[in-house]
Amino acid sequence: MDEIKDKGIHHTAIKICEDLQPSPAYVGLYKEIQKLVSSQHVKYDDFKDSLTKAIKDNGIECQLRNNIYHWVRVKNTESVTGHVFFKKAQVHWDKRIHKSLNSMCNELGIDLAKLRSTAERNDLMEKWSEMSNYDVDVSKYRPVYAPKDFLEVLLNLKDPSFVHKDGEPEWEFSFLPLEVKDLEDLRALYTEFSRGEQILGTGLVGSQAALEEERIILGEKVLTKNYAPVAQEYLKRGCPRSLRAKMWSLVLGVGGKYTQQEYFHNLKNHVLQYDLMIDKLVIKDIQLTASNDDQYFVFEDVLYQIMLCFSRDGTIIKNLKNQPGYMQVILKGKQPTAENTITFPPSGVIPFHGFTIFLFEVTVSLNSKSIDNIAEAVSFPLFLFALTWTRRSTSAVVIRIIIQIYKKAKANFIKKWYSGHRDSRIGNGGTVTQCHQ
Amino acid sequence: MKVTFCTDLDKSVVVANCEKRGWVQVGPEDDWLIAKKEDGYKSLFSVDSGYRMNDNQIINHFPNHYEISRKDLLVKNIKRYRRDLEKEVTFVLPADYNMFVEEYRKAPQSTWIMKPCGRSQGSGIFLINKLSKLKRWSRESKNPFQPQLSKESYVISRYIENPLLIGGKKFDLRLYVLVTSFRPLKAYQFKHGFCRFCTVKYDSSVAELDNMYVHLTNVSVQKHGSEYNALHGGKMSVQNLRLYLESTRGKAVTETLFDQISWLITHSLKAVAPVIATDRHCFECYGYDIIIDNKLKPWLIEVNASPSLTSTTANDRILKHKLLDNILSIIIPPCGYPDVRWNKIPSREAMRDFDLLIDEDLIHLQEEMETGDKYTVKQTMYRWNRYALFNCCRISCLPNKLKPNLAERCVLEL
Ligand SMILES: Nc1ncnc2c1ncn2[C@@H]1O[C@H](COP(=O)(O)OP(=O)(O)OP(=O)(O)O)[C@@H](O)[C@H]1O
Repeated sequence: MDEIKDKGIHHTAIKICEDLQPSPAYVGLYKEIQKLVSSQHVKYDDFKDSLTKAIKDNGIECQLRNNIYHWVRVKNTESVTGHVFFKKAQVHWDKRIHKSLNSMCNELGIDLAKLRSTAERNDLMEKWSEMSNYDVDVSKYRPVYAPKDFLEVLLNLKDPSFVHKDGEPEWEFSFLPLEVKDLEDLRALYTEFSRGEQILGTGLVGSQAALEEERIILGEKVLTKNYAPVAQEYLKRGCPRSLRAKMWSLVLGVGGKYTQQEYFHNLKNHVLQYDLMIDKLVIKDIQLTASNDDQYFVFEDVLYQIMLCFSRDGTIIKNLKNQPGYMQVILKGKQPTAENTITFPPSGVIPFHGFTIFLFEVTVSLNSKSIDNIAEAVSFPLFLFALTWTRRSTSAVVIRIIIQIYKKAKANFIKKWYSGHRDSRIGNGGTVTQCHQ
Repeated sequence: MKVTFCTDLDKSVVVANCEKRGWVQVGPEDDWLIAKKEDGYKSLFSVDSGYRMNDNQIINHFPNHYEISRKDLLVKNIKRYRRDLEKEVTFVLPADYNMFVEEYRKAPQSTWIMKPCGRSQGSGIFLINKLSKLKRWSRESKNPFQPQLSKESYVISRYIENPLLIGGKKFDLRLYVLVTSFRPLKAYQFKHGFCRFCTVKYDSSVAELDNMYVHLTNVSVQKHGSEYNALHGGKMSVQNLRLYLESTRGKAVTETLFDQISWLITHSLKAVAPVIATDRHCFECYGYDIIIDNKLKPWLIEVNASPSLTSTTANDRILKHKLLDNILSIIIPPCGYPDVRWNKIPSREAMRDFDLLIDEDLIHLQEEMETGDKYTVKQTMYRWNRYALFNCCRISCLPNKLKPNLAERCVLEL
């Protein structure tokens, strides 16, 4: 028995190593271990033990654990299978969006993707840090969809197995069965919420200051531990603004010192090289929202950079639980070969009207010092994907709909539970509870 | 009692706020209770005007508020407040020219900003980085340094070359402070305010020295720029600044910064308190311009006695409306009409969105009676220590270091 278990662990270890190697964090980890090996902490004659010890003492074990944690997270998302009707609804939605993208292209006589000319590339490069001065006519473009279009789709989701029970009130928009039979089960399913603990950003204003102090002290301890699962646990009760950047980076496993710069550089190069229709949508969205808003205008230039790079980030589409639809597009005027074909949009995300605003919090938090540090801010895509896309995933949708139901019913008994969810906007400590499944 | 008001400023925020309270607008010849006047108020106070206000009349200016709002006089008063200056960083030209040159020689690489004393809205301001440029300017201006001929005097101060930038742009802060009395000092700071951003990225190179869109944050300057956006007007709320700083720099340093700003304001008021002709009929709202440098140190740039009530954006209008409303709420005693015999201690509810900065009456009261927390003075009041004075109260015209005994003396004064 033990032998089988050992073997199992061995196989998993090999699998993890294989998967880790191409990951961005690997380079940094490897470099640090190399450094350790050549230091005096590691002895030639007692190589294995002294190395293990050194790894532990120098905090690398912690990094390793974090990497495994991220690995497990990604694995988990791969194995989730949603309800069939959800999948169907998603495919339908994706088709609809792609169709309207294509018809906008036809109408305006433009292409989804083409190479930029040298002149165009130079122009963009020159304006890169002040994109608000980048002259491109987007007057004819319009946002592909608004959040309310999407909400409508969500509210119309119908589970074929849903039956309306006698004696239950008629809800306007609930065609999904609850996953639980009664309140007791509901409490069991959401134990964390049912404990009635205070969550930062919800509840009365007066009590918040003390809670925030408390969370800051605890949060600083969590950060010194540098262990992602603990940070995730911590986030569930809300994270004070001042610690968000560090906490989010830790949970998402981003912000490594070796690879970020290069990673960002590659995304930027992709932007400089290819002229994608999605760029105009991004520019349009920023112009419609952030540029004119007294809360966001200051960050306009940074938002352009981040949004454009984000749209090129293929890791997003890879990590999405419910693979969104995407197109394979051949560059304008090129032969239909593999190297002339690109995934469109590369990130799989087609921005809706107001999408940029969703970025704001992350940008502000992670772009800590100046625009030069923007590479750090690239860590946002993963966060963002978690934030925007879990809303499509089963449980998040169900939670939302339950909230709607109970809101309607004005069921007082549920109020306590509900208060944990109420404030789930971005920019709020409570949000993060939604990002983790 | 019927309350009447008189204003020579036809601003809707003023009239709307007064009329909301059921007050009636009248002309200057009629009997009025509350006056909001921008010009001509001086004659009211002069002996030969023969006008004397009765107990139920109040007015929104102190007779000689220019002691704080004129650039050169603020410098003078603050210097007097800190008699033991070791080092000057602001001078009045042409009077202090020789002193300036001496100071200039100590750090010839620094930049200086020249501002005409009596003007506002950024007009006539320029930067210099070489003495020769100043000399050329004095030659070129019609009446060089001959006070008897020169119509305009200038203040020259060390330019803050390392302002805090957000999104690569320079900004300054506009905060509002209401003073209902100078002796004893009673002052309130408005919770709301805004940052005014430049439209062009900051660049301290010599080539951009004359580009006012880079250096001056005044809306009156920026609105002529091609990048100006009338929807937000380059204004971001102070609350957002706070959130931004908390996210990027941490909560503790952000709190310290805002505490320091409150201190800076309190000190500037204490500096002028002895020379303001105090009059129980008066109250005044000041617009404070503050620049934060990249080490998160606040610097006082200027105090305006008639801060603009013009609204450039929708949010601006909301803010200014609220400002006026809250001012009236503080200055009117509980009886509902002006009465100078009132002790000018508003209830906490009446303060609305104002925070108490300092009320020397209350400090005495509290000392005498130890009355717990009926009126809690802004927390920072009690954090008065030497550290605070050394690090917070650097006004752009103050020396970097103060003599220790000064700090102690201030403690006693309070
Ligand atoms: N010492 C300084 N260092 C850096 N910038 C400064 C300094 N003094 C002034 N400025 C900049 O110049 C602008 C104009 O200065 P100031 O407010 O003193 O002039 P003003 O003409 O009286 O303007 P207003 O009356 O509209 O406030 C300020 O808003 C600030 O951006």
